[in-house]
Amino acid sequence: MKKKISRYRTLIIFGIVFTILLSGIFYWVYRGILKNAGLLEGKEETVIFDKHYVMIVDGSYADYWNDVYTVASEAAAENNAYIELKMRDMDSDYTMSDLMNKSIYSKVDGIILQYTGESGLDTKIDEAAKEGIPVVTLLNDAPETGRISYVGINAYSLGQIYSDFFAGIFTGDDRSDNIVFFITDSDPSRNQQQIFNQARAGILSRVPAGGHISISSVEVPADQLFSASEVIRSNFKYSEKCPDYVVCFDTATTDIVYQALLDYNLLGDVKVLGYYTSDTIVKGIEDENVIATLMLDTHDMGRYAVEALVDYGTDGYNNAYYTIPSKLVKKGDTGIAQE
Amino acid sequence: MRKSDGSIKKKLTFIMLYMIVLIFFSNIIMFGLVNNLTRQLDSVYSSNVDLNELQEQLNALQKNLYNYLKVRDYDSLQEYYRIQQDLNARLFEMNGDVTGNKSDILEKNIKNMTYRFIKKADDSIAAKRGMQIEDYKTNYEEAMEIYGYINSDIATLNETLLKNNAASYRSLQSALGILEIAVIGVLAIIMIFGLYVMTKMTNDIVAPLTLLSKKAELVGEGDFNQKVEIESGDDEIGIVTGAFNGMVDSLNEYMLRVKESADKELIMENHLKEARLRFLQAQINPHFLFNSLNAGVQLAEMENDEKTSVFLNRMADFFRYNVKKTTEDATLEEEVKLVDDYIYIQNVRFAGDIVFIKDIDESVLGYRIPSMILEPLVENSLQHGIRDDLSSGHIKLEIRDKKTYIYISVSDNGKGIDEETKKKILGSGKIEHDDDSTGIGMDNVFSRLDFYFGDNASYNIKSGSEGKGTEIILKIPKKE
Repeated sequence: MKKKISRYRTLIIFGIVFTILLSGIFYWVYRGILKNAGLLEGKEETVIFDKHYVMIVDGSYADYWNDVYTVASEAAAENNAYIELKMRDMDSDYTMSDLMNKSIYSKVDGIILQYTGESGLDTKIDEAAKEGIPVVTLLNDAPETGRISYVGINAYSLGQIYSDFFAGIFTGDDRSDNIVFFITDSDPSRNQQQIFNQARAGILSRVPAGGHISISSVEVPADQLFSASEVIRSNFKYSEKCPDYVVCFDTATTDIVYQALLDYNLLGDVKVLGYYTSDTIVKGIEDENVIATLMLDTHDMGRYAVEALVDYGTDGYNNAYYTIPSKLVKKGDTGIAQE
Repeated sequence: MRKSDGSIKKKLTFIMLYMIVLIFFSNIIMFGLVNNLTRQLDSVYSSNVDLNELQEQLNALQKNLYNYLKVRDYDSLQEYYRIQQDLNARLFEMNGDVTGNKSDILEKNIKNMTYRFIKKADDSIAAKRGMQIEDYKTNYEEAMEIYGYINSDIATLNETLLKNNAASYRSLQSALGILEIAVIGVLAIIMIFGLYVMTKMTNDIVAPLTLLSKKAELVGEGDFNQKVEIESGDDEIGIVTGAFNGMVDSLNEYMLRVKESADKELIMENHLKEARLRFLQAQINPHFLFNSLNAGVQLAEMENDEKTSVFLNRMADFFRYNVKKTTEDATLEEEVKLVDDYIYIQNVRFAGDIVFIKDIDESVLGYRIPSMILEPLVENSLQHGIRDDLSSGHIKLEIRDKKTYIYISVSDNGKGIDEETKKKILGSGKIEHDDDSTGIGMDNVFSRLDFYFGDNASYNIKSGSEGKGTEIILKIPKKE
């Protein structure tokens, strides 16, 4: 009798455990389904940040800025802030000023702006400052605006880097080389122009006696759709006028140049100095058609920009000028391969 | 008598309830999950719907703003304020937090830009009312610029959400398919488990019944040594099992009692026979003993010799036999000796005048007959046959071996008996006894023979008529 009662009891307990277990498995399957559908993650992992910063950059530097954005986001998250990336598309009607406007109207807590020298951008920086939104300029400075800080390269030292590089190449007395700098910078402050000037002066001063070196610059219209490519390609149409060396100041220009050389069968005849890195640049470095590429420190760029905003937000003052290190990287050097 | 605890009804109810509860809860859980998933499916595009409604409100607000600024239409202004109120309520519900989610950030931007748009629109209306033409134009243009940004961001957000929601919708749709299979699978598992449990439980109920029916069949065939050992508790099966075991016990007991009763009846019958035998034997008249003894004493007094001692000796033998053999049977030899003793005593009594002839087959002397059979017959011949004429009378005892039976004849040549007396004796009618006899009448002899041998013994009395003597013939079976 007791045995029978205990059997029934076992059966009931087993039934309950069985049902619970089954429900558990079912719930687990269900949660898995919801997770797959993306209906759980958002709700569970919502983090509220104190500050909302915006990083406004030009799309022609996309790879570089994406890397900077990654570092900046991490730095911002450490300071309980979120950075929204607003990248100007080449095919979009929005100008950098529009992106500034949107950020101002969205009442963000800070703007990190790649200063392109676009007309009206200075006014927008001032408007933001007036609205109490601090603006940090990147890569190019706008010292006459209400920006709180500038994070970028030093034109003089970068010019020095280029002149040092070419001095290393031009060792023969009878050299006759043609160097062209593609300048995408339309900014009145002419940051790239300054770099060009510094490099030109440096190279010419170090050319051995008897050498004939021609150094020129070509302005590439960065804010007009497809025109950059046309301007660049026109430089390689006639092989007798082709430069021996081409220096690029952004990744997109480097890619266009490389493709043009490939199309005109000039790879090997024209040496390219690239800007930052892309799949094309990495390939070019490997086959030595891109003899070197300029690497700007994305880490410092991102961190300094956030640091400037955070310092300004907490202390009310900050460094007005951050210089980021840069160097020309050749085949065999570390740090060229894209992650 | 009905017990409810642990009854089959209760067990069956338990099984049913168990299954129902199991399936019910599983269904509830599954239904809940499926329902939840369906609701999720329904709500997938709700964010897009919300966004479209916002867009419509914005458009309406812009349209009424434009109308008012253009024609100073107060209906438009009223409508403008009404929409603005609704829009503000909607904006209040919108996300304003800075999260790591791009859609949330876009929503926050739209919210803030819309507030800015409303402010600029309000400024524009105020300027219009204040007749500040340049201001309302500037504000309107700025508002329209913001309006453009908002529309652009709404479109972006809509697209983003649509992409995400479409992916979610597809995932949920396929999830519903998986869930459907899972539901069928789970139900199948539950059904299998339920069937197993039901079979187990039903077997608990049916197995004892099967055993019980097999045992009942055996009992029906006459094997009463059947006991059913079932642990079925106090349910109906337990009761039936108990009753079955009780019934088998009762049957066994009854059979035993019947057997015992039969044995007892047999013993009783025997006892009765014996008692009746003893009763008949006890009818021997004790006066004879005393008279004989008196005769012995007289003889001793008169002659005081050896004969007296022999007489007393024979007397003693007779007396001893009489006492000893009243309770049991004897051999024919013993009976013959008793007759001898009796004749001797009577010869002493009657001065040796009795002529007693014996014709006996020695071979049958070892067979047994009831005691005190021959002596009463001889005594009867003496007393009623020749007593009155001892000088010419004689008594003859004849015992013959007739192979299948023993033939005994006691005859005399005395006065014989009349037909009436003969009939009386043979019909077991009571006959008056003389005080001078041993007390055992003919009827007694025949009765005892009947008791002892049953129907196997026969007897007859032959008597001619007055003066022709009497012969009593016994035919008895050989009994060792």
